[in-house]
Amino acid sequence: MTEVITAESEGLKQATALPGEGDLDLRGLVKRYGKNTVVDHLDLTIPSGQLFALLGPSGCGKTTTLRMVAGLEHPDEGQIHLSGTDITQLRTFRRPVNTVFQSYALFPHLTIFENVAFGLRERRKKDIKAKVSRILETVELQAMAHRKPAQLSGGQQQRVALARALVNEPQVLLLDEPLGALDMKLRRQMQYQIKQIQNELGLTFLHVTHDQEEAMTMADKIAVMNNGRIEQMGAPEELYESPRTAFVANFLGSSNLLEGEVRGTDGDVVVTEVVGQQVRVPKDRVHSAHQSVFVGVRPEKIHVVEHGTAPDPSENEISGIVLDSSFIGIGTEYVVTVAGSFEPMKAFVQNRSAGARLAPGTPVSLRWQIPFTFALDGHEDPHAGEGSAVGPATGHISVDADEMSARAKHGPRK
Amino acid sequence: MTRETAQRPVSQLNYSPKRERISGFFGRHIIRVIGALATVYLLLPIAVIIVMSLNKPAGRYNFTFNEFTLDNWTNMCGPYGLCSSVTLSLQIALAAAVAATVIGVLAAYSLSRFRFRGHGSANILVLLPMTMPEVVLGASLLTLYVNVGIPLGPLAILLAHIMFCISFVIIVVKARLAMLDANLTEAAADLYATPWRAFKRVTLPLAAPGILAGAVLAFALSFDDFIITNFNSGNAMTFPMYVWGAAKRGVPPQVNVIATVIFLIVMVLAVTMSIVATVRENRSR
Amino acid sequence: MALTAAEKRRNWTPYLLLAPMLLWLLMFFLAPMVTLLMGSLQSGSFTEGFNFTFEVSNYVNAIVAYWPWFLRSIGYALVATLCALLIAYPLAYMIVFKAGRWKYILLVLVVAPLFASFLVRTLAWTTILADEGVVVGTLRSLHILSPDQWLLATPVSVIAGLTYNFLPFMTLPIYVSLDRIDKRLIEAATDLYASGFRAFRRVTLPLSLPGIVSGMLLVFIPAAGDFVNAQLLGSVETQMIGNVIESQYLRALDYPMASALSVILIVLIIGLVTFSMRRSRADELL
Repeated sequence: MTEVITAESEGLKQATALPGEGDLDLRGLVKRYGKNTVVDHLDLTIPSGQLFALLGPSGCGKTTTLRMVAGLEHPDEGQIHLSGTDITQLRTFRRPVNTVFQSYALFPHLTIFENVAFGLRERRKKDIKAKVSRILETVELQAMAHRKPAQLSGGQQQRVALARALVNEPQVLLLDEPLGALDMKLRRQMQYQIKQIQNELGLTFLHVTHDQEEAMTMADKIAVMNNGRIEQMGAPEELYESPRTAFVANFLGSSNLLEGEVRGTDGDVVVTEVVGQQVRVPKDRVHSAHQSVFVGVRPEKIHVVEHGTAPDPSENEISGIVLDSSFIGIGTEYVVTVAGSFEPMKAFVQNRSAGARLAPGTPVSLRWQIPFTFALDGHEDPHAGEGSAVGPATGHISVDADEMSARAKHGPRK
Repeated sequence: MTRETAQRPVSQLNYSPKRERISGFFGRHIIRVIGALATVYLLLPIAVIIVMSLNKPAGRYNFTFNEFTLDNWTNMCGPYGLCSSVTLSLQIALAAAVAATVIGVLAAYSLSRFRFRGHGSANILVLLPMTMPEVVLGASLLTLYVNVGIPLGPLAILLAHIMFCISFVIIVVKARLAMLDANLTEAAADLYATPWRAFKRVTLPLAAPGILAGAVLAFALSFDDFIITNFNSGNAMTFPMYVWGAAKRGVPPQVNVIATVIFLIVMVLAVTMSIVATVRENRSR
Repeated sequence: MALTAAEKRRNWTPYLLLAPMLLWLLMFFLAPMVTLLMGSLQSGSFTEGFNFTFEVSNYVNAIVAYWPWFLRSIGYALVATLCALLIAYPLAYMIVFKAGRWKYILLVLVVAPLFASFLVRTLAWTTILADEGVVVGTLRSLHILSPDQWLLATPVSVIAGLTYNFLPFMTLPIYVSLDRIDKRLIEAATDLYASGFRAFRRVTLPLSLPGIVSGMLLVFIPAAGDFVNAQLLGSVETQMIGNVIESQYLRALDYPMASALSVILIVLIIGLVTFSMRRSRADELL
């Protein structure tokens, strides 16, 4: 239950901070579809002016959370505050937030210009022409103003959707997997462009995605969501370097997690025993209340050294035998069996030194700097979050299938 | 097919050259012949209607072709009561189409955009009138009108026509709405449109082809309805009622003229509509 | 949890939109069914007035007096449905798989008969099947018909009329179900050593079954209740139950009897439809 405590203490920390102007504040949000709790007592504060990513696998409740902020879904419990005002009961068309839909939802019967002008016309704004032209310029689509959406490419449609939401200068811009339907190259470009626009306009962006690389490249802050709860929240580096749960350790990148026991402390490091060898973990990177822990380290932090040289005292060491190695261009990935552990360890070595790859069967030492070590609760599932991360490299187009079907079955549609 | 069989001993394959030839022939020719015959079968009566509109009947009955004439076309309203019956039918059809379209569009929108208790039952109720033979619909309405005291006549016909047209409108409009991305309404709401504004600015224009098709269908069904009308018309004379009555004494060739005119109008409408749809589809690609 | 005002409004919207339709069908579809059922249990006469006396004997009398008409209606409707299927399936098949760019023109032709007035197009068959017409002439010269035989006013002409009039309702659903089939499935079947005909029998036909079933319903139901074709193309010998119901209501003015006949017709049709649906579902399982 550590992850719950973590999420809640995180929430408490923010509650004590004064809610600033423009902050989006979610308090105890619950959404159920029948017996299925999709969002489970969610607390979250999104500070004004940030690009905030809500990251999680399909069906984790992230899209439902976004839809509740947009007013397209109604929470069973909890409140949503924007700049200190309760907007929980406000209907969609009264909320000062705008959404970029995953399917873009461009109106097929209206021109690009009229699509972008839609929200302005509904609010009877002045200078519609100038505003629309300006935003179309920002997304580099002035030339397309009089075309219909079907005449545009996927990337162009995506930009129209963005412009159509941005032109209303929303207090929060909601992006629901906005790049899911684009190919990898275009996605990279758009990630950059969205980040640029956000910097320029200084608006709050809430970006929902299942793509950890996308979240890490774009976001100022990421909340990792799983099973309707927030596992961990923080800056991308913080989440990556110091995961607090097995889910986060595996969902963002990959991790070696080895079973271990806490043996004692030595200054500001905790000494653990892993497969009969001593592994030292910085005290502030131990996230377990128990004796039994999972000791973790990222594969790319590990040096693979042939036996013989003595280890540096600032390093941890585990010895094993090379089982397999695979060459992947910028580096080599070794799979190393460790005596006493059922799970082999992975190590990623950059191809910086000349020389042959280590052959399978070679006895090696795996070494890494002590500050890279972390320890998690030993009662967790060490495989949580594995395989559910879909990187952009696969070019996989994903829909939150579980959430969609849950909505189709139970959700009252607008 | 032949390539694969050639790689194996013929004896193992239960290979029958005769069957092969028949199926190939079936695929290539018989189908086309049947298709052509079916087309002739479909169009023959229409051709007869058009030809007989140019006939000068020998006697009372317009069954066999006697002599070519354009008289029937120049003197369309000749037979007593024919043109007034067409006018009444047009009036009823127009009113029925408008009413059924309004009622049907509201219901179709509700059924395709909301999930609520009784959704399934409402869907079944919509289909029920279509599964009843028309005699039963007409007869039951007659018993209702007699019991409640609604006089038979144009009003009774109109009420009945609206009833059976609603179902058709709902089915056509629902099919169109199902093709639209449900996110579009959400997007409109997200862009500050109230439900009514979202309906007016997004759903209505996008569903317009379906609504138009439903209205045209309702108009055609009402105009052409005979069986139900027959039970509820009293002394009112719609065009089908006129034809029914005339059938016993001999149908004047002007009836064929009217039928030809209607056929051509609807045909032209249908063809233009499909051409417009195709052009639009191509343009938006 | 108490509902908010907004939620309450949302909950009512779908019902408000449905209300006119529900009201209309309640008043002019369901209420008439009730008065029909009530009427079928009345006694009395048109001049002296009808009274509700729970007169079950109406049903007995109806069946005893008119069972041949019921039988004939079901028989004609079944034959017409089968004829329509035999014509419509190849037609739809051709439109989907062989027509190419003629597809949409052929589709318009399929529905074209519906654009010509129902009664007028039925009357056109009297010209086509007339004793002096081309069809009878050809059949006589081929010695299929002897010179003293004819087609009009026989079961053949009634069934031909029924088949013709309801054919589009068979063709369209079959067309839709065939058009939906992924053409690669048929290629896959051929790739797996099915001959053209076997591929048709094992892939195309089963996948088009929903279209066949709905087409058969859409033809059988109106055909079983029809009286126009029997009246215009038939004789006294070929009258169907629709003719009886029509004349009982509008000429004999025996409402209870006519209502009982209508109720029996509904029950008969519903019974046959559910029976055949069950059977076809059982066939699918095999």
